Amino acid sequence: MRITENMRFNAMIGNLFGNLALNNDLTEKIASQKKVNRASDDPLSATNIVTIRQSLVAIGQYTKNIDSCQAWLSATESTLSGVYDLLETVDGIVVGAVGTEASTRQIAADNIQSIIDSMRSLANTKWGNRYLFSGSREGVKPFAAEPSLATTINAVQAAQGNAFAGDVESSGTYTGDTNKTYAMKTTTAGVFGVARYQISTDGGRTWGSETLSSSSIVDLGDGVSLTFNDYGGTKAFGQNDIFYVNANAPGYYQGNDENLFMTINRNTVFSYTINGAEAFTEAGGVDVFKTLNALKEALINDDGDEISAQQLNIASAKEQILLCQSLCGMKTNHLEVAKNNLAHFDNTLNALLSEAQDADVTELAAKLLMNETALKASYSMAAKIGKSSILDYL
Amino acid sequence: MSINSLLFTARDSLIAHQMAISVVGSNIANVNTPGYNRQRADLVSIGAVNVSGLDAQIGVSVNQVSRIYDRYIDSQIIQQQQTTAYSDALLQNLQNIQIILDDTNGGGINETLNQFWASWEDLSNNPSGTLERNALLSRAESLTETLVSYKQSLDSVNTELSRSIVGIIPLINDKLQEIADINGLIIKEGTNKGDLNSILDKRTNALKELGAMVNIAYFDAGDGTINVSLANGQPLLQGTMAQTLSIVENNGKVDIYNSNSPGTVVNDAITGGTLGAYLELQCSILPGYVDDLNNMTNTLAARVNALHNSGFDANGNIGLDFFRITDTGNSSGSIGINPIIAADINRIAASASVSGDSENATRIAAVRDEFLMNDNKETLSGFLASMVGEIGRQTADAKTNNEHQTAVMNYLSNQRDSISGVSIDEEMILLTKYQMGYTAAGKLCTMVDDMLNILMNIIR
Repeated sequence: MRITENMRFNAMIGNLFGNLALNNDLTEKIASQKKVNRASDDPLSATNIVTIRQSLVAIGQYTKNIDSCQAWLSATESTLSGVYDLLETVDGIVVGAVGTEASTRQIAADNIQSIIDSMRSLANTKWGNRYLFSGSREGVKPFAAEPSLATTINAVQAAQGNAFAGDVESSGTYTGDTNKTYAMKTTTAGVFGVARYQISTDGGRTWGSETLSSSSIVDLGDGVSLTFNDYGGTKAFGQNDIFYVNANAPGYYQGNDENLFMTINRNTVFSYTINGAEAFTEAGGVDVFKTLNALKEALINDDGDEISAQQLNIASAKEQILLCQSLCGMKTNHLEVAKNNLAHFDNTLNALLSEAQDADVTELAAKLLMNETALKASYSMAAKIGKSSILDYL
Repeated sequence: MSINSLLFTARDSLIAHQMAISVVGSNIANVNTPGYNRQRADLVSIGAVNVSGLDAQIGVSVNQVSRIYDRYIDSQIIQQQQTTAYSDALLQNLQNIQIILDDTNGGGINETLNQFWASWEDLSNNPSGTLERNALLSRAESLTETLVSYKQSLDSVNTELSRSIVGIIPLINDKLQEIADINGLIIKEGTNKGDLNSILDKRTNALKELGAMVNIAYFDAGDGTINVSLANGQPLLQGTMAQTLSIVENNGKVDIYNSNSPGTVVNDAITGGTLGAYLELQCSILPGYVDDLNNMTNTLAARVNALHNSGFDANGNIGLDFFRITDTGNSSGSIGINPIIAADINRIAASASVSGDSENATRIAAVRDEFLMNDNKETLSGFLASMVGEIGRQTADAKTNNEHQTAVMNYLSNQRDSISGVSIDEEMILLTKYQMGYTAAGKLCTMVDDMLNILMNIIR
């Protein structure tokens, strides 16, 4: 084969570039400490890296969610423990006051009243922006100072963005036995006779069938109704106008029996609240505030039978609170386990990420050393290539 | 027999060797000229031996200066040039696209998307929190901005491709004209003893350069000229008649027409050379990624909007559309936050009921893990990760292919060089050889002179 000078020079340049490219690749990997610096370095690993990183971010968020649930639960737990301590003091006050003079009994009754006040403020504790014991109802103090004797229907609330500019009032007698929120949504805009609406008995989570508005009174169910005044058909509904009204069972409780949820793992939502109904009302066994108030009245009246009956209720109430406390503990434990699982998963994923992404620096350094030797040889050859020529001998 | 005729022999020899030395000189001069084929003076003996007439006069003459080349290798190089240039341009542009889409080092859509979901989670921890609502809004804005900037970057790659195509077409037309001119010269001069060598070299070079830009077929017309056509057989050049390619921009893409058949788009016939790579990128590869991005944007917006519509905002209203896409054909380039929500964070619908719970925020955050893409087999993030993998794979393939094509090209260049390239060593030896021939011919002259002197002395 004929070998020309150009072939020699081209081969030299080609090999030099080959060595330099390898050198560049190795130094980049060593400097970045990563073996995948761009997707084309290893497309499969690149996909894995992106996916793993996404999972790591999700785990970080779930852990954050768990932390915030735990904070909530710990606030709930310590509040309940305060409630329990208050209930503990009730027995002492009652035992010391039974059968004494009216003035002593009055002092005891006053003590009970102050316990009731402290307890209400505990039951109305806020954590962040929310009441611990109001269920999913926001912005409503869960426990009122005075009990309602019958069911109540609160004033109707029209959502701020409604198009309807007429008046609306709630009316009726609530026949339900739990606190609920009723809502009405217009699905077709227009005046009465044109507008269509749907009704929800769970605050808007699910909606009933579409109904044509026929009269100015809309029956929301369970005795709750809304009365509209459209000023002779001059005020029309818009689409998606929302009206809602809270209806409450008798008693002190203004919250509802729903719980709040948080995502603590992929597709796992966790209920992290103890709602006021199960902790303080008959829904959990004993209505704490009713019992205390009855006890106070019985003390004033020196009604021995009633006092001992209510003392039994206090004992049940203590158990009820203890039960809620232990529920808190169980939830916290559950979260702790979930958190440990996440931490474990986090470690595993980090290991996988490192495997997919991190460079083996030792190996690279060895390769770099070899490459440098080759590179130096190339340079030295390049310098020598022109030195051997027939011209030197002519 | 005459002594004088011996002088003629010497003269011919001197001339022939001088010619041979000038050919060697040309070779040495062009040792670094790309595409130069080394040449040789073909020496032939002339004259005859006439024994009975006691005459032996055999001289030497340069029959022709031949160009040493292998037609097969040249045609292979022209073919290979199309593939190598194609893979060069493809790799370079895929690397550009990869820079845009690559999320391997963090940042990019994936990260903003993750932050977007995290903000919904944070909001579900505190549905009435102003801080959380503001954080969500700004994260959502940075998500849409990222999507838009991705789309803009892909668009600018497309613009750059159009610009490159617009730039390369006149070069192709120039080359075609150059070859047509050379064809003309060849028709005029005819094929002779090597006068056209440098012109033929030039034509081969022009064909190689043309092949690097666009895939062509060419064949000898029989009269020394060559005809060139596109891969689909459409003629680009016949004899001295060169066609011109022209372009029309059509909806962000470039259509190419051949003056031979105006009205027919010839894009499909162009599959090689730099132009072939540009067209492949513009018509197939880039739209694929744009479609993926639009697809993902549409799905994201549709799902989040649907959930947002089913919830209630802080005022008790039904949730409005969260994202707004103003141009459905260009969803990733035109996505934004609903301006009503952007103006009033209370319009973010975090609750599933009018009571003010946070269930809707939780539900929207859970879209992260919903299998929405690719026939409900992939999550949005998974789809994005696949997209990163896909561009990585394409680039890696292009790189491997490019290395291979470059190696083939190097091999062919070496082959060509081995046959046609100038070797200084060889030329120096030839130089010495012809120099000796020249010296010997000179010696012959002096000897004839001596002989004549002897004869003259006899007469005297």
